[in-house]
Amino acid sequence: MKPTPLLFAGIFASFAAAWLGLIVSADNQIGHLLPEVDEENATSYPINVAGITEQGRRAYIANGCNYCHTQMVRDRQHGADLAREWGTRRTVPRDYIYTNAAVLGVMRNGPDLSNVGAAGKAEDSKRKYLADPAWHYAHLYHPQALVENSSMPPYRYLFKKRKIVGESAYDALDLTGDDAPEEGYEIVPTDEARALVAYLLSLDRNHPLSETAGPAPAAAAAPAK
Amino acid sequence: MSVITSEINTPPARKGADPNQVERALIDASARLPVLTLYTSAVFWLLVQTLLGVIVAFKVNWPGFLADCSWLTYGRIFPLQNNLMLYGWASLAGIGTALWALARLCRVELPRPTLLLCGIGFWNFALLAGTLAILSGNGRGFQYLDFPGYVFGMLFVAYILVAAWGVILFVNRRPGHIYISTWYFIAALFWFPWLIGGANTLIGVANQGVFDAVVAAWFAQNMLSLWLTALGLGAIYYFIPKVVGRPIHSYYFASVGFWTFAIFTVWTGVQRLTGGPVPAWMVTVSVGATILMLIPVAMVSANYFLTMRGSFNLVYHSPTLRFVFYGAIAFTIANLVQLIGSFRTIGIKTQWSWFAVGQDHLFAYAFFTMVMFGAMYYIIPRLTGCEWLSSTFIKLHFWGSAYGFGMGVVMLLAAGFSQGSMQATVHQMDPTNPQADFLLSVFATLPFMRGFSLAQLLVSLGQAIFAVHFLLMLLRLGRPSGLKPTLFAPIQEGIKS
Repeated sequence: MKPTPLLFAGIFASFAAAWLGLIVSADNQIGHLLPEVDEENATSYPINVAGITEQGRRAYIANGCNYCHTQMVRDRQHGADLAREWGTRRTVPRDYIYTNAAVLGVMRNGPDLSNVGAAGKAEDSKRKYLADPAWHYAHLYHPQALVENSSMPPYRYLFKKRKIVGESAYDALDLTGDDAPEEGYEIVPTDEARALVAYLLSLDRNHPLSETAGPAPAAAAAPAK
Repeated sequence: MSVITSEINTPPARKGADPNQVERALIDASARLPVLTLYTSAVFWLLVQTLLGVIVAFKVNWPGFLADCSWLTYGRIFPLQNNLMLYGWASLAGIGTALWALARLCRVELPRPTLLLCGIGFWNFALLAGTLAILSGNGRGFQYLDFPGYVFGMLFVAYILVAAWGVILFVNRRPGHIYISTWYFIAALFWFPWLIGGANTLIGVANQGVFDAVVAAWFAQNMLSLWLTALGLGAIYYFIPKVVGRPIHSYYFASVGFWTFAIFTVWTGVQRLTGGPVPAWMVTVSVGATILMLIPVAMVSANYFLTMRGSFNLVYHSPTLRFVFYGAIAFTIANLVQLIGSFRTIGIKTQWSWFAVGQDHLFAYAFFTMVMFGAMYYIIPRLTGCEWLSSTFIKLHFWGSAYGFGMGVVMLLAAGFSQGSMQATVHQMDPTNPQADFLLSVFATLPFMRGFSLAQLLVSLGQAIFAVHFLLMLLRLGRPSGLKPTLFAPIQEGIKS
């Protein structure tokens, strides 16, 4: 026979031990990080973004993008993320201090998006199209038209068809074939799509941090002096 | 047709003397309304999430399927299915089983359950609100925590109203030995509010970045391997000895198994983020705990296996035993797969792929859901006073679920392993397009995901039959038990082959 108080004490203590050991210590270690300030250049990273980018982040989560795309880059010991040019360094907790952590994601049915905004901007980028909002709109509207056999679902509900009045909209989609709307109409992104694409284009976690093994911050700081 | 008298050797062992049968009949009568209400709600959400599962499987194979409506986009249906599986089907069925078994084990009638029924109603209302929130794009995006915070607040209140009855039963129990199932049920009832309360409070505090991801990974793992597993093991320890008519093989194993389970499980979960932006020690601790989980898994597995030794033929006769035994084996396999997947060399090839989904399905469907079906086949006739109408229906339900869940899990694990292995290394790097290689990993999953769709269809066929059968029982259109049902159903229940 087991004395009941012992049973309850055990049920409580076993959970409490892990709660303290894992969750509370995690909070102590990574729950209250601050941005890293580079005093020489008067810059700080990461930057807390707001406005349309923040709306885009909400759209990203509202439409469940994180159930197929991750936003975390692993180091070379943990797979081929860096070889796939998903970033120039692994990501660390400090990268996310201003980010809703749901964007980290749980699945990779699509590529990692940690640095999708940075990927098209580099001088020698092989994927310059990623810097172009029009590519992202067209891709969201009909992924298979741009990436053959892609398994991404289309997001046509993020766009609306409207009659062209005067000049057509600057961000109207340039569609051909079956996707093209009838004469006199155009497909334009909704505010949600605009925010989402603005968010994607803002994603850049390549900034060097002291805790990453990547290029030292000093190297980047040197020319500024 | 062989008939098994299944009400033998109730732990603690009792002979079927009349006063005991009267007592059990009274307990069953008191549990009828709340437990059937819990089961009815559970079966409703089971059907909803099964349908969503079919849609998910079709969407994976045909991305354009139902894609043009924001409420039906993959990124909303997939999390909705997960959440309804967990909070709709599994939790409600598990609580129903736990309440009935606790009433039997504590030998106490359920007090008049007005508040309990309010709690169940409120729980269903919360699920409805959560469903609308996710579908309309107001989900939070954390796996198994997709409902908005207010929905979890409602679930928490509803849970307290429901679980309080478990505590009342335990406090008023007849003096004597506390059976191992009671440990598991009471522990589960205590851990669940800490899990959802703790995780939601921490995630509700804004801007903690990766810390939230750690909490979410820990929570997701423990919803399956702590909450559902504790309920499932409680049921396994209850029903296997009941049906085979023999006490559990080793109480020592059971006790060691329980305490090692309680101590180690709560440390697992962060291995879901192996290599991700989390401090390495957290992953190491979780992997270590997953390895140590071998101790409780070995204890439980040895126990159910040795308890059944010599009686394995009973799975041909007893639906309860067949479902529960399937679930028990799946429990062992689920933990072994978990262990293998947590090693870093394997983990980098399996995490963030369908393999992880397959692991969750092993726990939630192949193990827990099957055990709950077994429990329901045992409990419901005792509550409704009539027997299941057709053994063919039960067979179809078993094979649909057994093949469907089994094949679904195998397909997911295989899809995930090929997907993750291809992603872990670069195969044919096209210098002009570094992403082309990635697509190969997606193509690698497709044959398996076609198989997964087929498995989902089988599952839904099984569940549809079960739902009809369940409805007939609710309407008391089963086979009559012959004698005064509520009083004598326990002794004369015939379990059909």
